[in-house]
Amino acid sequence: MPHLTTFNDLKTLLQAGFEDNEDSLSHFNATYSTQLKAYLIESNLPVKDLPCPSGFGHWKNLDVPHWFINDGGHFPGSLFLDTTRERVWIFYSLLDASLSDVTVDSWINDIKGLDHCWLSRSQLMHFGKFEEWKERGIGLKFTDGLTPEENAGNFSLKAWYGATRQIPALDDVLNIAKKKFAIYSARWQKMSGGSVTISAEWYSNGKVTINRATDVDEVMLSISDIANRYEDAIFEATEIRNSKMGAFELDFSQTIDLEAFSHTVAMGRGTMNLWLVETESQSDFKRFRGIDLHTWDRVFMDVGLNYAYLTIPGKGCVNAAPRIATIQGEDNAGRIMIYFDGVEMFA
Amino acid sequence: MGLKCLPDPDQRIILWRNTIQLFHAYKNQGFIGPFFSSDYGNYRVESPLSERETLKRRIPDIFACGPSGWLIIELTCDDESKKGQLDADKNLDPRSLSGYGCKAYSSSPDTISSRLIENNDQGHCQMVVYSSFILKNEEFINNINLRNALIETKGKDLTKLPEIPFSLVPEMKNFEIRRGLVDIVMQIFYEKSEGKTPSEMCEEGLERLFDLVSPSARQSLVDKIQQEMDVLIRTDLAGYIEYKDGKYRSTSKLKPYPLSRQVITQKLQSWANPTQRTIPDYNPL
Repeated sequence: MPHLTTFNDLKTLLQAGFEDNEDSLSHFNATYSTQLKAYLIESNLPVKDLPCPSGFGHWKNLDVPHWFINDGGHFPGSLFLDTTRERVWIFYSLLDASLSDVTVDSWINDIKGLDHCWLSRSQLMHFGKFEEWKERGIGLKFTDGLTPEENAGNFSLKAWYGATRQIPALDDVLNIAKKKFAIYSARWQKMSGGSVTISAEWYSNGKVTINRATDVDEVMLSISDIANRYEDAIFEATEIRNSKMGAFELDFSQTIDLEAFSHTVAMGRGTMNLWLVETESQSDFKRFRGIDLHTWDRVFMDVGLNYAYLTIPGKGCVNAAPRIATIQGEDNAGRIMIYFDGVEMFA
Repeated sequence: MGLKCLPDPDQRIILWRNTIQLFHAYKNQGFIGPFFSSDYGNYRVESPLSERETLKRRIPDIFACGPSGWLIIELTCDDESKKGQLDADKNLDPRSLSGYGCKAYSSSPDTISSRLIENNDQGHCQMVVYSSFILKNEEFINNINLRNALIETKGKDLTKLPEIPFSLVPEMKNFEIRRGLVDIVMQIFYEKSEGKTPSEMCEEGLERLFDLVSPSARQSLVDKIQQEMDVLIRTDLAGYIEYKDGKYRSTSKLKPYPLSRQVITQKLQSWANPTQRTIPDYNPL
């Protein structure tokens, strides 16, 4: 694995990987390059004494503030952590995809106070606001997790499309599906002078895979743009939670089965990872209070057929709002938007 | 699912919830609270203000600042008149609002009582917020925008508004306290939890009200929490939670499996809502 000691070494290695430059790679004892992956990590922790993922040694400072590299253990020099931001860190990985995802998931699960950044539809589609970025693919998911498997209306679609639409009618299908189901990935290309300068796929759990790139600075900047946007949203939501007593409102595109929801959360079962006790019941509305098992923070949820109110009491982290929205959306509620006082949040 | 008989809902939490949510707006129910629509978004709960001339401290339940006026709301679950309290609120000095980032209005506040049952709070506007919004004596509201917003809210359904962050208030009684503790008890089952003292449970339940409640009222609530928790660990969750070294702690009986959690859920439900038992709960043996 590569032998790196400075921030400049890191950037040189990444640039060599993008160019597939064997000479540069060999300079760092690297014989091949894997696709760069980055994960946005929501943190409530100080960096001091933060352990590395299990088996990956320990974090060692690079020669610039707030940047760390794994030292010792398996695959030294394959993980990098940018902790420049207070609440959103960027975890870079040069591991193979299968090992990389497992490593990050375990690291987050093992450390209370860390979570994924759960990207909303607006955040996933952020690059569409800029002319040089082109949408090149979409992933949609609906697992219908509240319905028994034999009756489940689950849906999954992953479409990649190039600059020219090969099937003109595909747009109509995608637009219908996008309105109904949660987006879990979006593929973007940045164009410059008719050439692709970045090709990246962003996922709803805050992961991005860089499939192709020409400039490491541009890549890091595009990732930090989304990190900054997410951190701004977290600060805004925290300020609202601390100063107001209203609830975050989750607006579903699918109608949910309230009895099935109640049964599932009573057991803390399924991908939602919510363990809730029903405290009030009407035919089209139920109140719950309990625990978000991702963090063991308290949550109150008041759930209607196609909406929910989420209240996060005490010191509970507001990252629960986008997490619950993302996971519940992909599992059973379809497209979800988050509002506070009628204004879209995490946009 | 068995048939359920639901308990009487918690009067004090309903009163607070349905009053606080009048400061907010929700898309799905098309609900726009009158204080939200008239721009009284800067509100404070249980915060001290000074009376004119005497400089005596008064702590209204809620005050809020709007673009051209301010208001005070006193909440009550009982049927006694709030006239005396609201009369005194009229004499609060608007310059003491400056400490909360509000401008010093030249006028007295509009005063409103918020209740679950009607009463005559002579000379003051009255809201009844139990199920649908009822407004009385609106002619005593001086701010025209506020008065119109309150009138437009008449008849709106309040039963499906969201919960508010605090789950305990000092005047609560036994089953209300139990329901306010449910999620706090569930946290004890976190495998790395060091347990919770009754005081910590009180602080978590009161949430942002904690610093606003007097030490004696806090202690009284802590005592009531301890009473209800003692019932829980002797009956419904006997063997699952114990009281040791001043803390409620989980034993190793709960396994982290869905069916085990469901058992805890049912036991907490029967403790907090003793009338909400499903038919299979009754075992003739």
